[in-house]
Amino acid sequence: MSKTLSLIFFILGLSLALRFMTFFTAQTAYIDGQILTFETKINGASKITSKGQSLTIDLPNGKRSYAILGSYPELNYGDSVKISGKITYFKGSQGSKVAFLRYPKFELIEKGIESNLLLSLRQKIVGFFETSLPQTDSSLMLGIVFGIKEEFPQHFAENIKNTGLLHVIAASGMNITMVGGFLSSLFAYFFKRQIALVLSIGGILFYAFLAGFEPSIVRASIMGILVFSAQIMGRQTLSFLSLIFAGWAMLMIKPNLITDIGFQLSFMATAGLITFRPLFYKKKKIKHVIEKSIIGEDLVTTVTAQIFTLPILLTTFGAYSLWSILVNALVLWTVPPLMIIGAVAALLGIIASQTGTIVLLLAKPLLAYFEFMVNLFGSAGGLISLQNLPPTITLVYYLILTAVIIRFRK
Amino acid sequence: MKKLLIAIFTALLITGVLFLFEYSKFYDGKLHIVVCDVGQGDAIFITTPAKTDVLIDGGPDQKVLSCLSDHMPFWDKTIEAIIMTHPDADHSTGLIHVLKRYKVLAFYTEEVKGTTQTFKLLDSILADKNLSAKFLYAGDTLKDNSGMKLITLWPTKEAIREIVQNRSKPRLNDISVIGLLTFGNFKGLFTADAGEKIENQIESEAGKITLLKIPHHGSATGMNDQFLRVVQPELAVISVGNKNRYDHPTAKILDLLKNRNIKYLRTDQDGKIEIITDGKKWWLGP
Repeated sequence: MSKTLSLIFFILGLSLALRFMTFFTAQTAYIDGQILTFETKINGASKITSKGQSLTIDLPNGKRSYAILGSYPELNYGDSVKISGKITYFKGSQGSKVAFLRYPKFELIEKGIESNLLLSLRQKIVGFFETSLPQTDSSLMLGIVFGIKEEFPQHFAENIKNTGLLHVIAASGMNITMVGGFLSSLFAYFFKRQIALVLSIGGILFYAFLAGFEPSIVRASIMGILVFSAQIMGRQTLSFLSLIFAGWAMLMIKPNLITDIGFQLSFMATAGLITFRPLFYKKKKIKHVIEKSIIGEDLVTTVTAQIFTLPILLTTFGAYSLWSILVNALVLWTVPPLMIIGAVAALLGIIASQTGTIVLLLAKPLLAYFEFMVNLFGSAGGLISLQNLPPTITLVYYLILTAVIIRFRK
Repeated sequence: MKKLLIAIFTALLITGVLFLFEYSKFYDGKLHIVVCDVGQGDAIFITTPAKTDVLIDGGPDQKVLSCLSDHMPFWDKTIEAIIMTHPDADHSTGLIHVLKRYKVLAFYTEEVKGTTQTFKLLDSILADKNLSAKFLYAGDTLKDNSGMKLITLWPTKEAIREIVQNRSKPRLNDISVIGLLTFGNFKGLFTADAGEKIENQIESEAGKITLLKIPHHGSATGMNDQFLRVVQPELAVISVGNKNRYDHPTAKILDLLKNRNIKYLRTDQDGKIEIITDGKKWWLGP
């Protein structure tokens, strides 16, 4: 590493440390029983049951709280709302304190879909998918194509978690990378490499647009674009630096992201895809095997992402499925075609919903296959559970990974 | 390009095969009654040989959706009629989810409106979908080309008037819509949450039946021996949540059934219950 690079890393690290210090010391903590009145924006879907609607709410101090509210009016993604109620804490599964608002008073200030064109577009797409397909299919499609979280039947949600496939239905850099790869190889038929690259980036931005430029999608898009550009242009060092810079910029703007699981997973998986994945292609023989076998590419991608996110998965979910890598390798190939079908159907669906539905039904074979695999392996057992992974082990784990990469790059 | 065409063709082919498979599986010329496992609440799905889908209540949450997906082909997102027996949240909340995701052609309920936030939300969604609720009174009949008839036995107009006038807060359970389904020789009685006094008023009109949905999740005040003596069901089903806070079904109701040697199934122990009939015989589904 050159001197300039070291200096850049030093400056980035120092500025970030300062930002963290000022941000987290200034953060106020609420005491148990404190009454809060604040305005906030709804940042997810609410679940409606006979007890009311439950959702997570962003508090003024930047933290999140679980909340259960009366079911009318229904709160949707993007709505502005005024809330006043008592905050209490209960102990979460990993021993952390979880904030909870129980039936606070609330008032809808502005409906998101009425003030924002992107939100109403998003709402239309959700409605179109949900009225065209059965519940599991539509929630799966919305998750895979747009990273939009809608409710699954309970047993299916558990199976998805057990098989380590949550990242597929979340907005992750990996999904975007795969679509980028798919689009660029499609465009490469017709155009020069550089033009194909630009068009693919255009395609990715289009996804981000359809998903309403949700922050997690934007993050995933930036990271996804970095990775697959690196794959095409073969400039790994540059991509790695841009990833570091992108991560730095996001954290400078919103230091809270460091605790966001989506951000952690996205960042680490992307880092792995940039630095670790190419190692598999060093030896001609191995490269040949990977490229000739049907699921070889997906297997390499999965193994890399899993290796790089293992400590995060273990600390967050407290469990890791032995089947995870196998299931991922078996289903990941369906993601790019599902995303393409989903995007085309969504576009058509907005204009002519019946034509859109017909296109969407073409996804049924892939969805049936995906669901079959999830249910097969989700109930097969093989879960390793682990309570409290010490941070030192995580640190040592990543240091060893770094050493391996440096050793084998030569 | 060639590869893309092959891919599209394969997708079409497999979708076609899936279509044929589900078509023959679901449209088998029989009448199906599914008592969905929705926990503490009611949701009963009926589909007839004329492809009419009827949903009686929606349970307390979104669980009804997977019950519908399991018993409808994947391209069918239309429900011909929903009957909300009364506006209690354990019967109506799931209908909010159903209305959002399915095209519903008609929505029936009883006349008295609910006062809860859930009811308000349901009302606003009905308005969004340009559906206006139609009220059912004793004597009203819904039917289709298969010969299936769904006869409303309760509430009478008088009962509604009386209940609304006499109480500031009406007991909605006692004006629940009670429906009698007839298909050939088969008769099924769906009693919602009505109490024993109501059951005794409709028992003679119902007569001897094949299937009884036990009133009010097996609450002690739901029915008495007199009622069972008249309707003599061959099978009783109880829609109830595991370890619910009301202790439903009560020992009293289970004893009544045991004393008369009536076979019963309950959703908390047996999961969803599917009854299939061709109008002559009936049997339990898988």
